Amino acid sequence: MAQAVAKSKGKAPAGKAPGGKAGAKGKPRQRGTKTWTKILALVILFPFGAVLLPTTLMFFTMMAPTWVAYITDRSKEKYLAATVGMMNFAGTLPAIITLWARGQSHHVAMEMIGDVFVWVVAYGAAAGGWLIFGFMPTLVGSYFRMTTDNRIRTLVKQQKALIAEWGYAVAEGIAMAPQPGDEDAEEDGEETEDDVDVTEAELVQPGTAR
Amino acid sequence: MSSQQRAAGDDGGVVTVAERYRVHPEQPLPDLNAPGGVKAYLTTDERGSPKALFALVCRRDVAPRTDVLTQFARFNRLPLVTPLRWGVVYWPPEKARCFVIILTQPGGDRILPSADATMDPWREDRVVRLVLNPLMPVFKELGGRNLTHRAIRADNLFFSDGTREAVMLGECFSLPAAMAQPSIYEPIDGAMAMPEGRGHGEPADDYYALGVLALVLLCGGNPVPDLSEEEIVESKISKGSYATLIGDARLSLPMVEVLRGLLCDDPEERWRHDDLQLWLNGRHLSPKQALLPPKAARLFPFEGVEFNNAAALSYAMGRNWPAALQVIKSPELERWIRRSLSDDSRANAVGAATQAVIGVSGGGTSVEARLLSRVLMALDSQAPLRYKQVATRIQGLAAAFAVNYPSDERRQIFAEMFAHKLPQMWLEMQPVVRPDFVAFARTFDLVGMNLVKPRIGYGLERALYALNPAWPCQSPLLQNDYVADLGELLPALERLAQQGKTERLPIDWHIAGFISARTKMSIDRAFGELSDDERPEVFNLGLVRLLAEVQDSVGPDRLPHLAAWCVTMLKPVIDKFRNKTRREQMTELLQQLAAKGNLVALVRLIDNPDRRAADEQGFLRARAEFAALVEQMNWLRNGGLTKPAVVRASARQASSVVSGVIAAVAVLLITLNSVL
Repeated sequence: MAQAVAKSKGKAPAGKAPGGKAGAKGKPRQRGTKTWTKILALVILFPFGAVLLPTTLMFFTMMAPTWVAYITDRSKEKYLAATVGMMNFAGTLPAIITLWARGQSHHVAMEMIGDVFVWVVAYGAAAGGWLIFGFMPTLVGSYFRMTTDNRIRTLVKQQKALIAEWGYAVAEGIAMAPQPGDEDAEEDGEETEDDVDVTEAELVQPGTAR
Repeated sequence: MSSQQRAAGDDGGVVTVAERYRVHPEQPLPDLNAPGGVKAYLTTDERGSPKALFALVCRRDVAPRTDVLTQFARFNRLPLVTPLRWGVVYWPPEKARCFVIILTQPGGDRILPSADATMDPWREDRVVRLVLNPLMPVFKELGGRNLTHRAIRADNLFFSDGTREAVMLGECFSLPAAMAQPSIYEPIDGAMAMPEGRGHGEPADDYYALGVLALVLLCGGNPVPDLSEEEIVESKISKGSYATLIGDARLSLPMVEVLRGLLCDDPEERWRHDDLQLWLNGRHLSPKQALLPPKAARLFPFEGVEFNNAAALSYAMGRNWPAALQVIKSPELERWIRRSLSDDSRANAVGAATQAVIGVSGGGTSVEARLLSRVLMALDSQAPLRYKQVATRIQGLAAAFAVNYPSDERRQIFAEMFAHKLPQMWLEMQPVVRPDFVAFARTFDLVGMNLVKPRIGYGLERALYALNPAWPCQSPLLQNDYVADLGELLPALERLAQQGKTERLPIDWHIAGFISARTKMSIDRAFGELSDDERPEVFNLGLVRLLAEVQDSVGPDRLPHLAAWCVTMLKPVIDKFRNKTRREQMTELLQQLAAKGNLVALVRLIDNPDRRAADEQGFLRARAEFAALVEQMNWLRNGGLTKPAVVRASARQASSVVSGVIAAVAVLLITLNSVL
C-alpha cells in the first residue's frame, strides 16, 4: 500500500499536458506576441483615451482596486484581477453613465471623483469581488469533498457489483490506497467518523478472497 | 427368448414373468428346490400350459448359467427339465429384484431325496431301461452342441410320471456349473477342486457322472459311505475311480464293462455316446483302463502318512499348505522324485522351485506360496490349480473367483494368483496343449494387466466382471437389484434415483469395473477423471461422463431421475464457472435438460470449452474493470479533488465566473435603468 501511495504521489497529475521541446520553444514567441498585442491595444486606445479624457480619468480612478489586484495577482491567468475587475467595473459603470449624462466634462468628472458615494459604490463592488475570491476556496473545497464522497460511493457500488458477479477473485491482488488520515485513525478512532462511509474492508476481504 | 425377455414384478402377491407366467410366492415347492438356496415356487401359465410349471428364484450373489439357458430351452422333447422363460423380476419376499427361471415340472418325485439318502437298490436291467437308455438322446444332443450338464446325480433325477417307469434329468442352470455336485460324481481333478471351481468341464465329465449315477442307483445310495471326500479323492488317485467306487459291489460282467468305461480316469479313454450306444446294443467292449500314477520304490512321509505316488502326495500337500511349505524348503522331495520315482524331468521342475524357496528364505510367505504352487503343479500337472486355500480347474477359476469375491481373505488369494500369473504357469505346465488354453492365457494376461492399474474401473472389480460375463454387479448400491447386463445398469440407477436413494454416488468401484468390463467403447477419459477424486469438479464430471457414455451406448434414452441426480453432482463443475449469471443460467439449462433425461446432453452442455473460454475472458475483463475502479478510488482518496492546490485553482476559476455573472447582471440592470 505504501508503495502504491508513493507511486501515486510521484505520478504526474492526470490530464496535465505533457511538457516538451515544442512548448519550451514556443514560450518566447508567445511572450513577444503578447507584448506587441499590448502595445497595439495602447496605440489604438490612446486616441480614445485622449478624446474621452474625463471618462478615462474617472475610469482609471474608480478602477484602482482592479489595478492593485492585477499587480498583486502573481498567477498567470490573473483570476483575481478578473474577479475584482468585473465587479469593480459594474460598480464604476453608474458613475460613468452619470458622467456621460452630464456632458462628460472635466468639471463634472472632478465633481464626481469628489463624491464619496461614487467611491463607495465602485470600491464596494470591487470589495465584493475580493470577498468572492476570498471565500470561494472554502465553498469549492466543501463542494469537492461532497463530490468525492459521492463518487467513492458510486465506485464502491460498482466494485460490489463486480464482486457479486465474479466473486472475490476479481479483486484478488489489486491494492487499495489507504484513506487520508488512516494512520491517524489507527491512533485515534474518533477521527474515522469523518471518513468516507464505505471502507476498503467492505470491498476486499482478504480472509474470504479466493 | 433371452435374458432381455421382458419380465415384470408386481409389488405384492403374484409376480408375472414375460407377461404370461404367474409365479406365486405364497406357494413354494420345497421338493423342487435346487441346492445352494435356490427356491422353487408354483407357476401358472395365463395361456394354459399343458404341463405343470415351477419357477426357480436364483440367488442374487451367484450368477445362474445364463449362457446355456437358450440352448437348453431347445431340448423340450428330451427327458430333461427345460427352461421356458427367464428374466429379472421384483421378488416381493426378498423385496429385491431376482433372476427367475420358469421350468416345466417333472411329473414325479426325485429318485433320491438328497445326496446322503439311501433307497432300495435298483436292478441292473432297471438302471439300463430307465436311465442309461432313455438318457442317451440327452447326451447325444449335449455332445453335439459341446454342452455339459454338470448336474447329473441321483438327487437331480426325477421320475417323469406317477408310474415310475421313466425318468428325467433335473435342471442345471440355477448355479455355476457343477457347484452343487457332490465330489463323488466328479472325476479326480474335478473332485480335487473346490465346488465353485470345477467349471463347465467337458462332456466326458457328464459321462463320468452318469457312471457314478448308475452305481449309486445299483447300490441304493452312496457306494462308499464310509469314506470322507478327501479319502475318496485320494483313493481315486491311488487306485483309480472304478476300484474306489465299486468296492465290494457285486455286478454283472456287462455292468462292470460299462462302469469301467464310464469311470475311466483318462478322459480321452472314457466312454462316450457311441461307446455307450454300442454297449446298449449288445456289443461287448473292453474299456481301456487309465494308468495309475507310477509308484515310488520308497514311501514319502508327509504329516504322518506315507505316499507312494506324486499325485497323491501333491493332493495331500495342497490340502495342508503350512506343512507343505516346510517340505519344499528341503531338497528331500526332489531327491525322492529323482531316486524313488526315477522321474528326472519332474524332479528338475520341483528342484527349481525348491531351490528358489531356499534361496529366497525370508522373502515372504507370498513368494513361498507361489513356489509351492509351482511344486504342486510339477508333482501333478493334471491336478487343479492350487494356491493356499484355493483349488480350481482352469475353467472354473473365473466362477470360483466370483463366488469367493465377498470374502476378503479369498479375494486376496485370487488377486495374488492373478498377479503371480499362476494360471499362465499352470497352462505352461500342461503336457498337452488344448485349443482353449490360448484364450485362457490371453484372458488371464489381460486380467493381470488390469490388476496393476490401481484406479477405479480397473483392478479386481474389472477382473471379476471380465472373467464372468453373466455375473451380476455386486455393488452395494445395487444390493436390491440384479444387474448382469450393461443395458440394465442405468434403469437400475434410475429406479434408485426415483426412490430418492441418492445419498451415495451412483458410481463405485464395482459399477465402474462392471462398465469397464462390459463395454466395448473407449472410456479412458472418464476413468482418468474419476481417478482425480481430490477435485470434485473433475471427479463428478467424470462420473456423469461415464454414465452418459453408457447411455449413449446402450440406452435408455430417457432417465429423468438419474439426470436430476447427476445435475446435483455437477454443482462443483458449475461452481468452477466464475460468472454468477452464467452459473445460474447453466443450472437452469441443466435442469431443463435433466427433465428430458438425456445425460449426454448434460455433459455436452457442461463440458463446452468455448463456454469455459468465454467465462475466463469475461473474468479477465472484469478484473481489469475492477482495477480501473480501484485506481479511480485511490485517486479520489489521495485527494484527487480535495487537494488545496486543486481546490485553490478551481476556486479561482469559479470566483471569476461568479463575479462575471454578478457583474453582467448588474451591468444589465444599470443599463436598463438608465435607458428606461
